[in-house]
Amino acid sequence: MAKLNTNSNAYTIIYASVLVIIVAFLLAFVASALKPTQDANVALDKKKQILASLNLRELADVEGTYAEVIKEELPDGTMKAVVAGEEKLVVPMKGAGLWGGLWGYISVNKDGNTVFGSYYNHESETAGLGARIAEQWFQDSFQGKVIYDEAGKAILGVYKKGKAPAGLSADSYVDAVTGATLTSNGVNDMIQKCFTANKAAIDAFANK
Amino acid sequence: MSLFSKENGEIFKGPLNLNNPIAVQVLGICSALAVTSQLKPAIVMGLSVTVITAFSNVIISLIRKTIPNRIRIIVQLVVVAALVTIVSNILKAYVYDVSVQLSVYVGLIITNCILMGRLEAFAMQNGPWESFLDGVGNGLGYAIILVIVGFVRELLGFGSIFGIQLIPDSWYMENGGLYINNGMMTMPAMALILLACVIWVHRAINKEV
Repeated sequence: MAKLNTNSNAYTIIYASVLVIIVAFLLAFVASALKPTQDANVALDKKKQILASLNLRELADVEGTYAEVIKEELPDGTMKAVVAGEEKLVVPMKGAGLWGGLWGYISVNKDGNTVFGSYYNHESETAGLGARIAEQWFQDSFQGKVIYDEAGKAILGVYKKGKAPAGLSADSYVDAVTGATLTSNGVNDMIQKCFTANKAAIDAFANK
Repeated sequence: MSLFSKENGEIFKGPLNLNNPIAVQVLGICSALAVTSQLKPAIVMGLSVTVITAFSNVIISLIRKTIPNRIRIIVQLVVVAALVTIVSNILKAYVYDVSVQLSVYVGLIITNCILMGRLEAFAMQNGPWESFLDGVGNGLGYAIILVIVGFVRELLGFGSIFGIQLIPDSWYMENGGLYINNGMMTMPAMALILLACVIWVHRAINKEV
């Protein structure tokens, strides 16, 4: 058999087409075969994140706890929850970080003005820097913080040490992540935007 | 030729030291800067690159005689991209936590110069087993440097290793001590300086490089 001329135009085009078709089928097959497992993981992960904002972490039975704790999902996206006999309101958030989207959940106490717990995550912040907003020490630093000032303006924020606006009480901000100023600013903007937008829902929850 | 002959041993050991992809060839430093501010992402990234370099090397080596010369880079890129996508899908389905942690960096493996470099320089000329050893060797050579840089950056930048605090709290300025974390270490620029120090030490030890 004559040796194939692997440099001819026809061979090159056919080779490229066949390769691409094989790869396309392979990827389509892998993607569709794994999709249900992935979707289940994503749904389970969302429940984990919501529970983390209620300070329920490292759970053995996520589904069961979720069904037990989350009582009602309201049309505006907020969720009513009961933890240790106390009512909480979980507020979902979306914002922008340095490289991509940020999201999170903050649970608010029945007084409608203090944080019970929080959870943040990100699409693509830098590992070891901006990505640290997803770590528990940062999220826990929000516990007990005051959200609104007396005029009802959302003031809870994230600032670098010593860079908080003058007159802002230490009860209303947390320290930013070292080396991640832009991601921290993103979290700050996300929180303030979300608490401004959801003021009515939180007031209704607190019966104000 | 036996599977573990002297020549094959050299193929595997070369990239770990005298022909290290980062320290000697200075390839793939972009990702070395991005993922090394802490030790854990550095290790996971090093392992992912090792797996993908090894398998893409094997695949390209198997089909190397059929690849049309003019589109060989495109063929290599298609194979790498397909492999990375499959690995990322498998991670998402079976170890969701890890895949979330790696996020964009798995995708970025496609653009890692070491991969394309090894495919073009080694797998196109050698058999599958040699190519596999070469891929594993280069991946591990890359991982070693990432781990060294990640270790120094996490220790000096955060005072911890694997997220476990090593510097006692009482040493810190805010608690009345004299110590303060070096914030510079958390910046990507410091990785470049550390990398240069690693290369310096490496060349001082190995005069022949």
